[in-house]
Amino acid sequence: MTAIKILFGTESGNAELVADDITDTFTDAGVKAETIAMEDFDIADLPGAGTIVVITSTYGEGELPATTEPFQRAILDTRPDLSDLRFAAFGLGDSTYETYNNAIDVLTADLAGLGARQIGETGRHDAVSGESFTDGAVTWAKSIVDAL
Amino acid sequence: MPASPSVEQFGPTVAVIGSGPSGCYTAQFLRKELADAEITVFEALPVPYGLVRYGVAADHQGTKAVARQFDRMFERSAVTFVGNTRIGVDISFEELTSAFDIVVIATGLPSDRQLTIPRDEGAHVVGAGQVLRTLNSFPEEAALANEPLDGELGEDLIVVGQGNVAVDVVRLLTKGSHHLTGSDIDDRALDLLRPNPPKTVRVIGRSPASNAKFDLAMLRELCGIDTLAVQVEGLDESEQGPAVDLLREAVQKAASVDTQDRTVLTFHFEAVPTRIRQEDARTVLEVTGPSGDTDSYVADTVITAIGFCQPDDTRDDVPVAAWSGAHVYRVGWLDRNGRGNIAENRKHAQTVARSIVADLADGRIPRKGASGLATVLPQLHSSTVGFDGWLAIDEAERSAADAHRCRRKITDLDEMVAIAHSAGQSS
Repeated sequence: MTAIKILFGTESGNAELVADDITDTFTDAGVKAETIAMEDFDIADLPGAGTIVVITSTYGEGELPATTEPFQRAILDTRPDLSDLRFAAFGLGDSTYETYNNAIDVLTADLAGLGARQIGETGRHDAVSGESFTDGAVTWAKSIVDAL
Repeated sequence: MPASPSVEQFGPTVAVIGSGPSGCYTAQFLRKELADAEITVFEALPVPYGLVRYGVAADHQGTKAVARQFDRMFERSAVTFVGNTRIGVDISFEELTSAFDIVVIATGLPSDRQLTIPRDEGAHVVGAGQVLRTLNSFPEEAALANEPLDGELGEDLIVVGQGNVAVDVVRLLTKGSHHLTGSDIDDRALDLLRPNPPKTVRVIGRSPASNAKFDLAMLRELCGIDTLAVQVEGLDESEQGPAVDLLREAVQKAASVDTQDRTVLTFHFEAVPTRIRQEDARTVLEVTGPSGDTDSYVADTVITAIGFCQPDDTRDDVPVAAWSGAHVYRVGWLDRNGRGNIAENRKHAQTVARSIVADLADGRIPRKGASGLATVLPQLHSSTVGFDGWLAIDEAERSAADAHRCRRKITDLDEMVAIAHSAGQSS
């Protein structure tokens, strides 16, 4: 099985930390995974990627971070057929905002709209909760690793 | 006497001066690109992370969580932390640059910028950075220049500036102590500076409301505090935009409540400060409005939130123009005149790291086979603090917190060092 690509988009690097935690959790469970920055991923590889995980924080007024936005825009511009793609999703947000975890929801809707199928529930980390990123990411990753 | 290197350096040696976000992000990016490099982050204080710890407001723990990335870097990525070490004092800059192939200066801008308008000597003016630092338990002995804040700021406050720092100061000084649950605010300092919430706060800035520099989310958070009654001056009817809408909504809400027990918070837009006078025991700020008319506002303290700069007095541990060279780089606020939040400085750190990698690849950095830490460590005093030492301090602070706080920071430098060393670790 090819390694599952754990794609992250970030502003302050927190989503990358989460990506690494998810990669580690999968690896420990015997599932090959690799962390890749969205800015380093070629959209042309998306349709044939098999299974991926997308991770992003929400920034400013519900916006996509600077490294998620081009990824999302490229998907919308090229509109690939993603009917062979399965994905899981995890978002970092802050529930004091109305637009809590908006970015991950935007991304999952875009992927689903092009035929991709989501595995499991969208994981969410809330900055207000005081929970560590690692605890949130690892708990979620363990909950879906069997479904991959 | 420098130790002679017994092992040939395969990768370059890198010294980062300053463990705030800019320095740590630079180390992070360099580690990704240069697997063989020896990377050391030096820090003047016994504790790392700079403004994440001492600048970001105590009730914004979510923002402070970036420190987890840096913890992981020191724990897992072979980046060494050398704390309680002041470059320029404990070791000269020249000795450092001769011992390392690459030096990155990430020391930030420690002082509050001052207003340059005429000011009476007895006027009470303090910097917002100093207020935030004090509420963040910054060790007084380590402070550059300033007199410590040692008394009440008073019932009537004026904040000059319209950025996020101004909003942080207003929020922390007006928020009830019970609304600071989960924070690591210095309760003793808060009680000293404001034993009671202020009666009035004016926020004065030269921009119109639609152009003010504070983030919308920060303004929204502030206007949501139910112990405030918001007023606005200098807001033209024709002005539009989300900030303007928010303010109008807040003003409307305030108009329908009894403001007797609230802090009246007034935003003054398009107001340019022209003079600070002392009158009786109070401080008076004179401003000029958009049509040229002048107003004066009386307060107990004027707090300036107009940016940051290098300290005035010359000190050995402050970077000067002479701290330069073919292999010397600057990153973060030091290089950007105090501009940029954490995410923006992460991007800057990425840019600087990339230029270092490119310079190395193109042979622009003289490789002197410098043995970095091995040369420098023997020259340092015995009280340096390693990463395990920081972890011991971190644990002690979290354990000392009461039920409503997430940590009680240690303010005494000697105590920090003692805890660090009792963990059995020094660099």
